[in-house]
Amino acid sequence: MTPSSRLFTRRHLLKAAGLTLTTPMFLRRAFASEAEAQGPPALVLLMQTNGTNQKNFWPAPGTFDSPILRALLNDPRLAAQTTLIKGINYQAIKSPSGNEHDRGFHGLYSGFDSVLGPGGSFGGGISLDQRIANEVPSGAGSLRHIHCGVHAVNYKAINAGRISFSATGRMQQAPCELDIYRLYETVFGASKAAPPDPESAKRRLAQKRSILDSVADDLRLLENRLGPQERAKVQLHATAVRDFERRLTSALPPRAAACAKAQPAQRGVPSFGQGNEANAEILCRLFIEFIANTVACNMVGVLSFQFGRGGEHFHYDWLKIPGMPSDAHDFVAHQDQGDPEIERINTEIKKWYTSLIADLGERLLAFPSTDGRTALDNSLIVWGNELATGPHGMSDIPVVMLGGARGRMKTRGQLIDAGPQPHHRLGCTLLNIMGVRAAGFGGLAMCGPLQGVQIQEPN
Amino acid sequence: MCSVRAHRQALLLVAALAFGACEHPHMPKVVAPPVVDAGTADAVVTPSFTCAQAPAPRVRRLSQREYLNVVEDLLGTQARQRAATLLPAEPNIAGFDNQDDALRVGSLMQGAFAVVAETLSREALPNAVCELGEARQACVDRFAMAFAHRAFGRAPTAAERAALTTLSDQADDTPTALRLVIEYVLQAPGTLYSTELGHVTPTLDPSLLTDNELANQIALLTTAARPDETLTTVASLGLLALPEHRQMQVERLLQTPRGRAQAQRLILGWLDMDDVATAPKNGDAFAAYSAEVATAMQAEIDAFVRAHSFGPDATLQALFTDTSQHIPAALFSIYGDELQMTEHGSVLSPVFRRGVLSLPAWLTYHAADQHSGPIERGLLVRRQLLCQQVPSPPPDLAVQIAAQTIDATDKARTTRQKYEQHRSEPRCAGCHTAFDAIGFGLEDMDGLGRHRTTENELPVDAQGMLLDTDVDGAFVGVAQLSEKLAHSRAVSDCFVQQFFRFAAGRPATDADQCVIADLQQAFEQHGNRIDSLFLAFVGHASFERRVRP
Repeated sequence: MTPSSRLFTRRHLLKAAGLTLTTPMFLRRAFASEAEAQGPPALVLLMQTNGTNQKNFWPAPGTFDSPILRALLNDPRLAAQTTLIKGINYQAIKSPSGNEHDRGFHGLYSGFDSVLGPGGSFGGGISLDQRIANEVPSGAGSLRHIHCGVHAVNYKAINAGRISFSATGRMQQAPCELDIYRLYETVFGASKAAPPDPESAKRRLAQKRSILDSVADDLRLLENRLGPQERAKVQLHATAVRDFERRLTSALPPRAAACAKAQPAQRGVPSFGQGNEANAEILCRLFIEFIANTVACNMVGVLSFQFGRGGEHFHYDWLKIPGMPSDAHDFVAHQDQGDPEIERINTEIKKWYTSLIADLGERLLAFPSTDGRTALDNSLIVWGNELATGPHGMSDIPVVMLGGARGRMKTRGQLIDAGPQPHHRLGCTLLNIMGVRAAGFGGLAMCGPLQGVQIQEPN
Repeated sequence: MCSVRAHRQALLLVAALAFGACEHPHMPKVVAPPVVDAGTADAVVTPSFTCAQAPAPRVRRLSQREYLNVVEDLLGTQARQRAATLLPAEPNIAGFDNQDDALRVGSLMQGAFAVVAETLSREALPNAVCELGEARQACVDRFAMAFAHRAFGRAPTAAERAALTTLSDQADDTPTALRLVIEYVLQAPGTLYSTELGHVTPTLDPSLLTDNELANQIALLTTAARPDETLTTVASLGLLALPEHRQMQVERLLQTPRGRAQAQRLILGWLDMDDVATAPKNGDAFAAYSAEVATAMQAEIDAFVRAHSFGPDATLQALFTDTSQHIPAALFSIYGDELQMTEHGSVLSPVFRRGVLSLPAWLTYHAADQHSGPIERGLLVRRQLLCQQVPSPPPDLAVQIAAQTIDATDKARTTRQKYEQHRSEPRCAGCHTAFDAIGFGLEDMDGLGRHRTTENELPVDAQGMLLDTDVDGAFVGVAQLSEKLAHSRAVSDCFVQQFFRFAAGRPATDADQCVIADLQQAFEQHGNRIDSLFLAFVGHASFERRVRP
């Protein structure tokens, strides 16, 4: 509880949303001009916490529908783009640190066991988002990587490692950007600035490039003096500088002009902070909108997003679920072991997440390309979870893929259940889709890709 | 000591004669170093360290706090405030914001630094940079070199000087040239990083840090900023190779406002404290909690920690045992009958309160949103104050624990009664006893740090127990726990470990353990004075040596 807490309801949001929350027409035109690009697909990694209700998540045999996934699977266009992967089990390699929240939160998208660090458990190695940012070139003018999330909460973290699952290396926690408005400014801000006269713009661009060249030169000289471990952090910085310079100098007038109108549907929402959980719902909606805009405008190579921190304690007051206990983590997720009332409440909570994913899918479907595809065809959304079930179950982690990944995702519109598979295979498959040839992932060098998932590897 | 003092005075005299005067408050001109009284120098001693270990060379990114201090020194307070609004939040690892592992520059961070640089170069250009009649090129060059020197904490290298010249040559006029210099410097690696690499062509293994590197390590440790003029001067004279000179500088800098703030940051980080106002509190459970109360709690703990961060009386024991002297009016309702009004103002009874753990700020921050949070408090004491790792439950037990959640809103039992079920389960009790028993002993203080004898109209049981420590035994309430911790060698050794993490900006490795053992010995020799740790750290041979792995 803080005096600054504000409550935004969905009605407020819809009222304020305007174009961007309904059908973003300006972006339809924008995407059409970019459709020919045939680089790697945009990859979006979503991390949900606290597992799901297994019974209501997976479709019954012979069907492609479930109570939790209904918002996604009842829309034929989205269902056709959806791949459900059952059987992914968290598999420790040695002795991971922390409890199952920590292990899944850090392990699912890294393939490394969590390790003990100051104040909690941290990622045991580089996470998939960071690795793809390092190894896969992003499109002209786009950022290589964004890691963001919603941390507006009413519960204090007791574990420093659960702030972010993104890691540049062992115990190297990468920050999770929480400020939706700063993100819009970073991604779309440059294209919104009033254009100076061409000569001034040219001169200013040259100045900025000179500065960045000097920074890059300094980093190179520094790098030459370092050992391998220290060199990695400077190389990461150098990559970011080159990325930034590339974005500055990429001339994409058609896209830039249209995407200049991308903006959040709501202004002034506190983006983070304990006691601000009343804003978590609107923030999640705004981030979904941001992800859609960013992917559709081809502004990012890989974007990772977390719905809260590891083992999140959202109370979900905004859902107004009858009979909702005071703490969803403790009294719903953990207790979901057969009690019909708890199962009902947990299912309602999980359906809310599905509504967000469906919203994202619909937004991306709204952007046609000249080859008849959509932004959803040309991107891949991966919706994962740190746990399989609320009571810390780690078998059958719910993983949903949405999108065609520029034709690289061959198995769509179905449930794939090839039996138990280590979670490392998910990362291996995603690397292969992104054009990184890998036989394993994280701590399992030879785990192979997911069985049952067919992909078209790029040439 | 006499010879050291004489040396210092001679040094300051030489330095004062060698440099000119300041012209602009935010200009990075070298100025006459202030002649400071370094105090009695009682703590300036070089203990007999035995450890010959040294860490590996590295490059360390400045934390945002350090970067913002550099910006303030270069361009003023307003520029600092502006920059702070443009940088994204970065992780705070177990109390400390300067942990290098969490300070990487990816796409978003690089973009943010570029935006800061561009914005400040446009908005914060200093006035009256050039002197009357000074040629443009001479003015720009002078500004550029001095500005970069101040930002980097050393003279620019040949490559950096060339970059500065190239950039300023691109400008059509002086203001533009100055802006380009600022824009480059504020995002240059020289500003963002501090190196611990030693001489470029090391002839020794271990190699020794350069004078500038030593100065920068001292400045970051004691002020979270680049070296001031005096430290720069001392470095330029090669005196930082001597431990006693490093210690004199540390002693001087710890007495500056930034030095006090840095020592305060150490203690608050050790307590794993962030702003009290960020502690979530359920309005139904804690109707008395307000922004005004949170602000007052913060002011009280800041004052308490500030008073216990420097000087002969600022010891670890005093942190645990002294009673708060400055009670803001907004906390009168929190303390209630514990306050006695005297002719000198309100005085807090020491019966139930001892030390920093008994301050409402700590008790509020380390509590749950609806109750006192005995598990969280107990875990914090174990992990942060005793440096004990609490193992994770095995998977099957974790599932069992997850299913045994406790209703905080249950009014039929006390918080302790609700959580005591952990100890009734034999498999849970093995671990939970170790920290629950500490947290239960703090049940005399509720989630706002108010003393209580009843909860839900039931008597409060604040009997606690310390196990697996060097001060094992029963205690009742936070005051008795503080007394016990004050006399624990394990706690003081842990404080040194936390200090090392703060000072080095990284967790200790196995190779660091013998350095830490030396520091622990020095800490004990100096009566656990907080400032003695800073002096011992820079006085240790490992401070100046680096060994290639």
